[in-house]
Amino acid sequence: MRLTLLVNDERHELEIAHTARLADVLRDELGLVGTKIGCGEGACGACAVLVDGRAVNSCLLLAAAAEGHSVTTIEGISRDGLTPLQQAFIAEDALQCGYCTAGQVVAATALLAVNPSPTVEDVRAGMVGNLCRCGAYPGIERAILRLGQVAPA
Amino acid sequence: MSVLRSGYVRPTSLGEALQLLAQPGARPMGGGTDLAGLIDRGIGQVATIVDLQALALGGIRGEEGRVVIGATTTLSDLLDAQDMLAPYTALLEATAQAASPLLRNVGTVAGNLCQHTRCWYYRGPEWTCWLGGGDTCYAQVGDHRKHGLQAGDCISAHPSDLAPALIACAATVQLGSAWGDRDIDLADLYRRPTATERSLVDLEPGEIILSVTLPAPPDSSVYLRAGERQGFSFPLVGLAAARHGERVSMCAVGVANTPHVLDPVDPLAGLDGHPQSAWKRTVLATLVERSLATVAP
Repeated sequence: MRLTLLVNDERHELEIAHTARLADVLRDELGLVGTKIGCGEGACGACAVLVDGRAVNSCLLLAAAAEGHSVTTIEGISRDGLTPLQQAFIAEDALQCGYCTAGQVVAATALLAVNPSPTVEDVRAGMVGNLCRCGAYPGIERAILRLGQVAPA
Repeated sequence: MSVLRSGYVRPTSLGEALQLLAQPGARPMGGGTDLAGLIDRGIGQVATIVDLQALALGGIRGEEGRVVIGATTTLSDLLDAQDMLAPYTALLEATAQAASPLLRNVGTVAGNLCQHTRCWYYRGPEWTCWLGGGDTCYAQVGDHRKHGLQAGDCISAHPSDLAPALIACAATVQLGSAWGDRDIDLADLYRRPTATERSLVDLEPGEIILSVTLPAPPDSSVYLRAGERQGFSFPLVGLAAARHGERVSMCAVGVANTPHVLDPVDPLAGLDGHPQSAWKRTVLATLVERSLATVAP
């Protein structure tokens, strides 16, 4: 089917299968391989992208359903260089292998957008859909909390 | 009347959507989080996906002491309506524990109620199990650690957190199809699958949920669940209890292939368990005890 997708503020005309997942279209059709596919069933969050500003699993979203919405991938988030959140990930050693990191950053970006100064409990509840098999959770938690502390009151 | 095209359609009126859904092979889609997983595993025939997102079926409104929740209201929308839903404690507790923020941003109320089982034989592309149309419930001859406690043709465990909370709160569902609308108790939406109807929901072909209605709130309610971890996981056993005056309604998931209304006199009745799943009886008994203590006056 023909489809128009708005990704990182750019309009793309695509011809795809009607059952294609957004994650596959982003990676294979648009070359936006920052979005990772881990479990492929919504459990790990490596595929997180923003749709109209809210974090979603792009492995469980049909690309067709994203038409008419604004999709932002990790490439769009860091278009102007590493964001303060990404710099905090580096400063807090919030990754090891890095496979989950794009999804972690996307989910944390969405979390901080609605809750600029989250508590530890807010961070844990808000990031529960993002797994890190390396166990970098303490660093991820510190990175997000660090942003919260420097955010304007 | 809309012509059914193979593939994906996004109707803009309910009438058009119901006409499309009346045609063979059409499947409704809310957020698609369950459907996308099923498509990925090749489960079920999906000729045409009818995306309901443009129908304005979402939203929560209070009217005359009741609360009406539109079918495509997301689970995040429910949590954003804490004020209106506060009297229905069990529903808010169940929603907060369901899935993850990423999934709650997309997953809808109707989709949560109609989601397919997580049984690994049903989901596994290697098998066509009894529920999927085959002749064997592989769980009964294989690994059924997380499965149901009832005897029967399919021992899968129902995964919805919302269903027991809504059923305990006496919710009804409004159904629509090209042939008309009807209003039933949510508890009656579910039926145990039979040899000729391998479906857990009693929907006619082409029929969809339009809304869920909560009557006046219970005096108190609670949702308790045991999962594999405190965060995001499907319920191993989930139990909602709601007290309406002297009477307590209890509904459990994870113990049968549909949400299971418990008999207050003998909550474990009919839930004898299977060799690897009998441990859930202990968990359920504990959740019953705790929930009754919580909702007591």
